[in-house]
Amino acid sequence: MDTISDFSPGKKISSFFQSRKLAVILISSIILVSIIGTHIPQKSQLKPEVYNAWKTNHPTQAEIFDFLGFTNMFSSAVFIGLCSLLFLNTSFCTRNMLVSALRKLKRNQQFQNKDQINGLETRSEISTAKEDKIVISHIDSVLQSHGYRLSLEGNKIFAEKNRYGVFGVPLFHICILFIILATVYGSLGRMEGDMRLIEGQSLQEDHGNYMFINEGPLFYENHQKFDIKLDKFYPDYIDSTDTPRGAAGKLIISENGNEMKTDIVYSNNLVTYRDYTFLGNVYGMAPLLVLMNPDGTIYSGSYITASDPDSSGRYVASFDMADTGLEGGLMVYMTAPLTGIEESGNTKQTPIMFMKIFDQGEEIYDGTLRLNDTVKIPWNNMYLGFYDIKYWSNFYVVKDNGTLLVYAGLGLITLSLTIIFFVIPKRVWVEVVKDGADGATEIYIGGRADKFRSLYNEEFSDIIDKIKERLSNVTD
Amino acid sequence: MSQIDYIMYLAATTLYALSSILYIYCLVFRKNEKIGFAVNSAIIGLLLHSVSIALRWIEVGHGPYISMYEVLSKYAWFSVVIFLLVQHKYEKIKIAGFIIMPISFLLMGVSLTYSRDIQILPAALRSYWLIAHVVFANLAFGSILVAVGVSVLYIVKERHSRRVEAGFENEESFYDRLPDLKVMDDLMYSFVASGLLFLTIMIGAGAIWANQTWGRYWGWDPTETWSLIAWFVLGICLHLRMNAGWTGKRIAWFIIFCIIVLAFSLFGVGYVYSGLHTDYLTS
Repeated sequence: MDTISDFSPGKKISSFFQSRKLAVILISSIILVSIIGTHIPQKSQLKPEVYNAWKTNHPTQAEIFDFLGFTNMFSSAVFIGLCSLLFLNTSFCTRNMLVSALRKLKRNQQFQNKDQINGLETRSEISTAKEDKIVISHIDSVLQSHGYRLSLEGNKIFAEKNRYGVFGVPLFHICILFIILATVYGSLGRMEGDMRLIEGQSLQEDHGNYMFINEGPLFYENHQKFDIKLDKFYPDYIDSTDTPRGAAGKLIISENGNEMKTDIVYSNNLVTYRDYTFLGNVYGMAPLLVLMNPDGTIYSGSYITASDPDSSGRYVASFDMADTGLEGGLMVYMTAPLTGIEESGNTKQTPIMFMKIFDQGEEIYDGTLRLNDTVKIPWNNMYLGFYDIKYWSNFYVVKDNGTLLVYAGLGLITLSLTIIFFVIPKRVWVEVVKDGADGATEIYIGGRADKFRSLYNEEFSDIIDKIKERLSNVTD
Repeated sequence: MSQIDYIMYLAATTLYALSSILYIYCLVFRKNEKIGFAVNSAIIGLLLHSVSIALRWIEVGHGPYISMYEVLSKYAWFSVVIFLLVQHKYEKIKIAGFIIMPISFLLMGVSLTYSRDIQILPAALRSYWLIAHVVFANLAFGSILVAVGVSVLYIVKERHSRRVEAGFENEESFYDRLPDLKVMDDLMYSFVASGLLFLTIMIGAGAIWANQTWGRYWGWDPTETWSLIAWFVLGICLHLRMNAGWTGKRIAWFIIFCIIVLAFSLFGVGYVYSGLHTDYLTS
């Protein structure tokens, strides 16, 4: 019976967390929760309209799952709790594994006598008339040719290879801990946002210039405030190897007026600068609309960013016309990409814009405009001009300092798995005894691999065959 | 050229079917000596299959990783290649082809139900990381499939040994020609270990590719989540084998469970869930 003095909370906690059964239970629970997470629509995975449609169609389910946090399963308390427990469990197990690996490393440097060798599962006995010194030198040579490192003590040999393979399992677990920490570190200091740039426009890397922005608690609004310019946009970019790359944007990054970096962003070709990564995102067209007073002076003007939600090639936008209280809707399409205009100068490629203007909900204008058209609108005798059109593009900007650490962790985890399963510690023990009545030399040889023991027999048999072959060929 | 590659593909499918029948015949009627025909059919089928893939590759200008027709064909190809290499090294497990070849034939057969139309490689898929990602996915599947083949052989031989001990069956040379139970146990273990290693590289390459394409290395997309689930399941399998003393029949059944999870994560997820990965495949 435990007395009060025997009770140690530290030991209890330690033995609880280092349980391998606990690891299996936790991993199984994470699997179960992940499966649930793939079944229940996740807010972060779906477009808002799709998620809202599900919510409307299944109000009770949505309410329950929302309440439980299951619609954000992978950031829910349940999931994070399970991952935290697994982290603790892995930490405790790793400590034990390291201790055990170090112990193994020391313990294995032993010589064994013939009785101990005879207790091994994989063993053999060879009898020869050769002198023991000659025998030992041949065994040495065979074992070395198989990659073993040898130690000698009298007539005993201890040979081993892949000695440091014992660190494979602890390294694997350290890598898991490392990846979890890198992920947490990365997401806490992460910044991601969408920056919309019209061709030729330059914006500063700052909180207010993002259309949407998520900042981790450790990002501390630490914006670098360099300038980003969309110098040129290519809807169908073809690179120097004639490979079509889809939409691409040429970005110029400058600081204090100095150009620091110029590169083209397209799928699988990111631009990185000061730990920020720029990815191409959606794009569209931006016609320049200029509102003019009756005397021809400019009242206001701006590029209206129109997008193509159904990928039909028709770009639509609704907009307010400065402080007039008027609202407008437009649809613009190109008979050919904008790049075509510049290259061929063909007027047939002029953009066409359909526009409606509303005054307090009442339609006051419905017309078609071509580039450089000016029309009079039935409001205060004002004019509206369509004088330019450009591409705009959203750039997804990410800063995640944990990414390279996660990659390093993944690389190390691959290395550790290779060590665990393909750098298997193997040992061979030999004792050469001159104990035959006729002066024969007896060789007692045994071996052991830490894993795949039955497959190791093949290598062991090969060693024995080689030794026998050497001994039969040698002349005294 | 498209007709030639298709004819070769059909011929390869037929040879895989023939090989499957021969393997099953050898197992059911305990005819180890006929196994050479099954192996040769598989080898000739593989050669034709390889030529068919190469011709299509030249024609479409990209590797076989866009349409389901290409994807399933590629899985079959890798499975047969891995199996033929393994059975060349471990001759005694040749008969495991009775699992690998019918599954490869099934993959080929199902692939024929999909459109063979040429699809242009989307810009997002033009990445060397994608190639590494899909190659290692195939290697992982092939390794686990071979592990399943050995597992089934283990279960069959173990059952026979028990029945011989109980006096229900006589000893048969067919079973003697199979590897020792301990060897099969180690082989299962080593193929699952290889599978886990390949799956890890697949996930790593996929993470780098996702970061280049979508700006994040992990997004809990259903395919990503299921690949992690498969990784965990293989991890549990090895954990039980290494630490909990699960060997032999128990681990053999667990390996069969592993391939179900892995196959679902590789093929099934697209049918059940929608997501970034599945959008590419079904496009």
